[in-house]
Parts: sequence; C-alpha cells; structure tokens
Amino acid sequence: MSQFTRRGFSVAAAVTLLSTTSPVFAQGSVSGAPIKVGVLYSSTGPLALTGQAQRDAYLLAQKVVNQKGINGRPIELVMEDDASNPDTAVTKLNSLLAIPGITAVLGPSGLAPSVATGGITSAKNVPQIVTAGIGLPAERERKCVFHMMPPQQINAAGLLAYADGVKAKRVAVLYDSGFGTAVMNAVKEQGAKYPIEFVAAEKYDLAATDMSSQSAKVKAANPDLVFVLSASPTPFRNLRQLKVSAPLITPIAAAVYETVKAMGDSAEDVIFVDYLVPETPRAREKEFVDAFQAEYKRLPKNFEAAAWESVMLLTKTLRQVGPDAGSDKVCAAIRGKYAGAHTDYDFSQPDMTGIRVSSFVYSQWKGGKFTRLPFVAKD
Amino acid sequence: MTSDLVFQVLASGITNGFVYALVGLGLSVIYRGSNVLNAAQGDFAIVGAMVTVVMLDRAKLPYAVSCVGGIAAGALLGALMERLVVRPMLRRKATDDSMLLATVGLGFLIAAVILVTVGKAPFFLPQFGGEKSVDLGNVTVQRHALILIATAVVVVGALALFYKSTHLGQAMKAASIDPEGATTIGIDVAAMRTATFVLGGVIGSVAGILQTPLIGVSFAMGIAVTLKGVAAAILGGLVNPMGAVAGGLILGIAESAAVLTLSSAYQNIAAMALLIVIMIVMPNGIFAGATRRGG
Amino acid sequence: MVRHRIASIAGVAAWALLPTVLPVHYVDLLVFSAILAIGGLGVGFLLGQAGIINLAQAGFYGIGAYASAYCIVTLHWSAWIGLAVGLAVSAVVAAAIGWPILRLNGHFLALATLALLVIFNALFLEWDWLTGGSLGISGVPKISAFGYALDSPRKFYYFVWPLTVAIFWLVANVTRGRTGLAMRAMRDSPDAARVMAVDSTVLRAKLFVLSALLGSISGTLFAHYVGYISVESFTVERTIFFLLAPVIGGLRNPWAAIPGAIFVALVPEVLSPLGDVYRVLFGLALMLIIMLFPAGLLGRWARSDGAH
Repeated sequence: MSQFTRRGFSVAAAVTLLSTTSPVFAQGSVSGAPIKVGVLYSSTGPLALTGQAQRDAYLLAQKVVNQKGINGRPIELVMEDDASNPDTAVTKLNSLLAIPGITAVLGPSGLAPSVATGGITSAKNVPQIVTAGIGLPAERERKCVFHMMPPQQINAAGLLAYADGVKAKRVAVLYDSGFGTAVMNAVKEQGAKYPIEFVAAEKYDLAATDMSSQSAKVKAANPDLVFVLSASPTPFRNLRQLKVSAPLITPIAAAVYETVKAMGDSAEDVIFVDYLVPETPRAREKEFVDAFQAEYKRLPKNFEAAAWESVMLLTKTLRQVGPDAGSDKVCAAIRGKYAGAHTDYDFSQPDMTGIRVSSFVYSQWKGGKFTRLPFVAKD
Repeated sequence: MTSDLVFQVLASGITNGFVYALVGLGLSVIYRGSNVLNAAQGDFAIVGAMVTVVMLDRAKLPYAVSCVGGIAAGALLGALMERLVVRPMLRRKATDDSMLLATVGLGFLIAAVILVTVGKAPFFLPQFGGEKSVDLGNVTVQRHALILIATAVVVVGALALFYKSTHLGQAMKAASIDPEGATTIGIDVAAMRTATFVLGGVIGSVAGILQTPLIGVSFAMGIAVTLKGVAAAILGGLVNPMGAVAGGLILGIAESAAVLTLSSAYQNIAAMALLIVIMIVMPNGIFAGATRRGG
Repeated sequence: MVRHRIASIAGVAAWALLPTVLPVHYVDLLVFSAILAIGGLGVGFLLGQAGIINLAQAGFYGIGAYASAYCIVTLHWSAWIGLAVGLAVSAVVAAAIGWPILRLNGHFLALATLALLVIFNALFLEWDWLTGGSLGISGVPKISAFGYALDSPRKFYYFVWPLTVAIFWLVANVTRGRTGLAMRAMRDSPDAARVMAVDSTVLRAKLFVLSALLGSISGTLFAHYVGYISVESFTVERTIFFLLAPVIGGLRNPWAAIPGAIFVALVPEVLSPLGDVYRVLFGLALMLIIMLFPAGLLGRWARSDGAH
C-alpha cells in the first residue's frame, strides 16, 4: 500500500471517529502555509448526485491527510461547482488557476468538463487528476492530466468478458444518447472478438423520461443478457415491468446507491461492473470504507472512492517530491504505478489511467445490498 | 416486427399520450380562460408530485391523503400564480411576450425552490394498484397504466361536464370569451381567472402524480413536461381542451411509432418534425374548433 | 453634448481598465457576456423590432461552433473558412426552415423554433462523425494573427468587445431607415404594411436569417475561445439565456442585449458562493425584472428617433 501504513490509517480512522466535529485543520503538528489544491465537482446539474457524494469524500480525505500533513503543512482544498457543464467548468477552472500557489486541480467528474478543463491545465502546465475516464484520443497528449476512471473501452471489455464468461450468445443493449453511446461505440468495436450476436441495440434520448418502447423492442429480440448503458433508474424499471426476464448488467455509472434505490424492485439481481463493494470490503479498502461510514453514516461507492483516491495520490506524490517541487516533477512522479485503496493504477499508460479489465469487481444487488460475484475478467 | 411488438409499443404510446394530454389539457384550460400560455405548466406537475412524495415519504401519511395534498398544492400554486404574477402584469398592460417570459421565469424559480428544499435525487411514487401488471394477450401493461388512462378519461369527462353544466364553469367560459359583457351580468372576471389557474394547477398536479410512478420526478423535469404539453395543446388547437387530449395521444403514439419504425435515436426528431409539419399544414390544430385563435 | 462625450470617454476608459482590476474569472465571464450578447442581439432585434421569438438560437450557435471546429480540426482548413462555412450553413438552414414556419404567428412560431432546437440537438448527438457526438470536438486553435495568439481571457476580451460593438452598430443601422420602418410596420400593423407593399414573408425570412447569422458568429467565437465544444453547450437552457439577455436589457433598444448579457452571465457567478440557493435568487431577480421593468433595464433609454 502507499504512503499510509495500515497502522497510520487505523490511527487516522480512530481520530476521525472521535473528532467528527473537529475543524478542518487538526491542531498541533500540522502548521505552516497551506498547500492549495483546486477541486471541481458537480454540485448542480445532471451529475449532482455523484458530485455531492464526491464532495463528502474530498473533505474526508482532506481531514485525514491533515492529521499528519504534507511535510508538516496542511492541504487546503478549494472547492468549486462546475454545474456538470463544460462552460462553467472552464470559468471556475480559470478562477482556481488564478489562486497564487495553486499546486494542482482535482476533478471534474463529467466527461465534457474534463476534456474542456484538461486543455487549459495542460496548456498552463498544472497537474490535474480527473475522476472520469479518458474520452477523446487528443487527451492522450495531455501528459499531466491523470484519470481515475477507465476509458469506455475498458468498461465495454468488462461487459463483454462477462457475457462471454456466462456463455450468453444473444445480447441486447439499451443505451442513452450520452455516456451510453460512448460505451456502446466501444462495445461495437470490440464485440467482433466474441461469439456474441447483438440481437437488439436500442438507443434513447438522454432527456427522455420513458423508454418503454425501446424496452419492448429489446423484449421482442429475446436476449440471453441485456447491457443497460445508463445512469438513470428508468430503463431498468421499464425492462422489468415489461417482464424482460434476461439478466441485466450495467457499468459503473448506475452503481450509485440513490439510483439503485430509485429502481425499486427492478434493481433485484442486476449485475454491476465496478470496483468497490463496501458491504464486504477487502483489506485494501477497509480503512477508507470504515472512515467514510463513520463520518457520514453511509457506505461509499466508486465515485467517492475515486475522489478520495485522487487526494491520496496527490498527497503521496507531494510527500515524495516536496510540495514546492513544481509541476514537472509532480507529473513525473505520478506517472507510474499506484496501488489505490480500491483498485490499481498505472499512470504511465497511454490512457493515463492504466486500470485493467481484471481489476473489475462484479457484484449483484440482492436484498437491499451489493453482493460480490466470484467472476473475474481476464485481461 | 411482430404484432405483439406493435401492440406493446402502442400501449406505451397511449399511456404516454394520456400524460401529455393531461398536461396539454391544463395548458389549454388556462389559455382559453386567460389568454396566457403558461410555460410553467410542467412545473405544476412536478410540484404536485413532489408534495405527494414528501407527504408520503417524510410525513408518512397515507397514499390517498398525500395525493390529495399534492393536488391541493397544485391548486394553491395556480392561485398564487394568478394573484402574484398574472394579475399585476395584466394591470400593467403587459404584452403577450412579457407574460410568456414571466411564466418562463416562474418555471425557473419553482425548479430552484424544489432543488433547495427537496434536493437533486429522482423520486418515484408507488404504482396505483400495486406493482402489478396485466397481460392482454402477449402484451404486458402495468395496472397503474390502466388506472392512469381511466383517471385521465374521467378528468376529461368531468371537465367537459363542468364547463357545460355548472354555474362556475359557464361563468368562467363567459368571462374568458367576453370579459366586459360578463362583468355587466355580475361575473367577477378576476375571480374567474383565478379559478381558471386553480383548475389548471389541479389538472397539472394530477398529471404529475399519475406519471411519477412510471417515470419518476426530479426538480429539473418541468421544462421537458411543459414542452410535450405545449405540443399536445397546439396539435389540438390550443383553445379546445378536448383537442389537447387528442393532440397528446397523437404525440404519444407518433413517438412510439417512430421508435418502432425508425432508429430509436430519431424518436425525438420525428416527434418534433411532426409537430412542425402539423403546425404549418393545419395552423388551427387538428381539431379546429369554432373559436379560432391563431396564437 | 459635451456631457455625452465625457461620459463616453470615461466609459471606454473604464472598459479598458477592467481586466487589470478584476480577477481573471470575471474577465472570463465578461468575454462570455460578449459572446452571449452577439447571439442575444440576434434574438433581441428579431423580437423587439419584428415580433418574432427565435428559440432556435442555441442551435445556430451550435452550427457556427461545430462548423468552425470541424473545418479546422478535421478538415484542416483555415479559421476564416470555418467561420464562412458556419455562416453559410446557418443561413441556408434558417432560410429553408424559416420560409414555411415564419408564416405562423406568435406562440406557434415560438414553439416551432423550439422544436427546431430539439431537432438540432438530436442531430448534434446523432451525427457523431461530424460533431463527435457526446464526446465533442477538441483542439480548436486560438484565434491568431501575425503570430499573436489570443490565448488568455484578457487578450480575448480586448478583441471580442470592439468586435461586439461593431456588430451591434451594424445591426442598429439596419433598424434605422426603410428596413427598420418596414419591420416595425409589419410588427405593429400587418395589414397596413401589406398595403404599403411591404412583403412580409420575405422580410421575415431575411430577418430570421440575420438572426441565425448572429448566432453562428457567436458560436464560432465560442469555439475559438474555449477550444473544446460538446453538445452540452447548445441546450434549451442556452437558448433561454439568448432570449433573456435582450429581454432583461430591454427590447426597445437594440443595444440592450449587452447589459442584459452581462447580467445573465455575471449574476449567477456572483451569487454562486451562496450554494444552491443562488438559483432561487436568480429566478426571483428574473421575475422581478420581467414584471417590474417590462421595458427592460434600458427601458428608459428607448431610441428617441421614433424607432422603438
């Protein structure tokens, strides 16, 4: 594991437990000029649901880091809302970059805001750690913008590996016009490698409120397995209400507690392809899950983990090279392998994230919680 | 494409169509009664649904009571809108465009208030008749959808009866057709206008409560709902509330048909293109009533 | 007269000094205001002078942006050609669609333009070979001439505002003179206008095309300023902002879109530290302005040459 030893983490968790109302900077040994880090997250707009959760994770991470500080100095996160919108993200980024001594920028979590802000931070040579996957090939040129989520190719590979693993021959896809289309394009590219027949591929508009017609076409195609590429609960409900009996599998965007709750009964037995199953945490993520649950009385999921991870990654790097090392040294130091709390990264890879298909954790929603599945994809 | 699929998709289209019809109906009622095109009509639906959700989930009141509460909230919102926004603007001789923009601004405001009070998450209500479905042949229809359609029909019928046979309904009609004449026979035109908005609010919130178990409700949905309702109302001729019903059904079925026949991606494009074509070819709507108002 | 001149010079001086005293993200917002004002001008003069509500402006804005981005990034043509292609496509679309729908009146026309925007949005997502779909197009270069690139908000500010003023001045001149007279006749008294041989349909189509061209210019500037465009910038919300800018500023004055755009761009930012509540305040401010100042913030300064 990284900079924090297991003992250090337990101490941090205990302190967090005991001091839930303590101020942002712990007293005592951490003093000196704060290390300023800008954070873009979505407090409003379509991504607000995950944005709010990420905010909680960022603040918790800041608290935990400041128990020890970075070479004795506290870290200070300056949080700005990007409204899930690339234009607002750019404006807020400009205001963050104007802060004297800004060391790095964390976030945003939306694809379009990430691409928009990445162009500016790379031009200004400020390190950025984004909690989204790489989208455009052009982003690979940005050697100082790191991604905490996999590109859609990996998401697609995770779905296809499962379909292949359970010997599903007839696969239907129901996807939205935003994130869903990006994953679907990757699925189409890679699908030829597998003995899978795509019996239906139904798209619906991101702003649509009802997908029952598309769901009816999925039902009529009689699939063995359905990929649901959506961040909204409604397609799941539509499919189950029409009595589509095939198993449903979905990538990371829908793996959010509030979304799953909104699915109601339709969530039962849905398979999720993500990284973190907090109901049964592995040793590597136990401290994070416990700390989060102690602080906020609820379980964290992938987006919270990614936010937390980005703070920890930056902290580890700054402790290594020193907080005033300058962008080039910071970027060079990040550009390597990193074992995060919930998954392994390799930031030297061309997709600026290095997450492998085998890192996916497959889980199923049963009886009100996520249950780990034994399936593991091969790289 | 089997006949099962066609009927299944048709069932979806009709269900959605009735929701659009109700929203369009509320819009049409308000337009006929006050000449105001209410761009916040969708937000009436959202408010009605949200109040029901809050009463059900947070205050733990029985479902029926919560629904009544939601409808009452819609009625109240309509009354407030008339008193606080429409009436002062009419006094100032505001133009049609200003009035429309004021309703747009009101829509913004309502969405913002909901965001601040209830939050960003989507909420669903329990389906009427339980989460059960009915199989008509090979077509699966939610019980709730059938109840939705029945309720919508009842609302439309009650509205027609109201305008035709009750004193209040006839007074409201008179006040809108000829305000000066109505005043001379003792009708309080302003009060009739308030009543119109209350009625629009009631119909809007009923639409919201009926649709939420199927598609959920969240603070930002108002604009999308309004757009479909406006389309339904205009297809039906705007001043003819019954036309709005037909307009809504046509819109819902056309959307579903587009999904069935064209690529699913073109669903929205087809619906909008249809709307534009109908407006150009039949500017009085499909059901040009006796009262011709071109907008 | 002298007072006017002093006021003008003071105004210009203040404008020139603002970037030196304001934090950079306010300068950034003022740049967005200028871009918004140009598109808003298109909606505003069409509504104020001719009584037509153009709710498709965000779509023409998108056409201008995508045309520039596609021509430069994918086809490797020059920025001028990108601008020209955007203008040409917007003009053709506006003329082709405008011709049939401009015969509609009032609310119907507004709805038709809104339906048009929905179609644009769907096509922006669907034709991803052209627009990059939900991923968008990145790498639009900054505007540069003779080696000097507009690569900061401040540099762009000094470029875009004089351009905006020039565009406004050009359009304001259109609303003077015979065309303007014809427009207002058509708006206020269509039958009389017809008697006076004002060809309403042709005039409306021409004005709609002009409105679309302004939206397109706005989009091209946006693409060059931000460098990355995605479909999320061309939504119904954006089109409402294009409408709000001239409405808040005042429809009777062709210059009104400028203070209106500044209001719409800056007020949410100024209020945003308050958290989500800022939207409530913004909504309230909007309502109050629409209700209390039906002639807009510049209502008192309606044109005195009879043009109103």
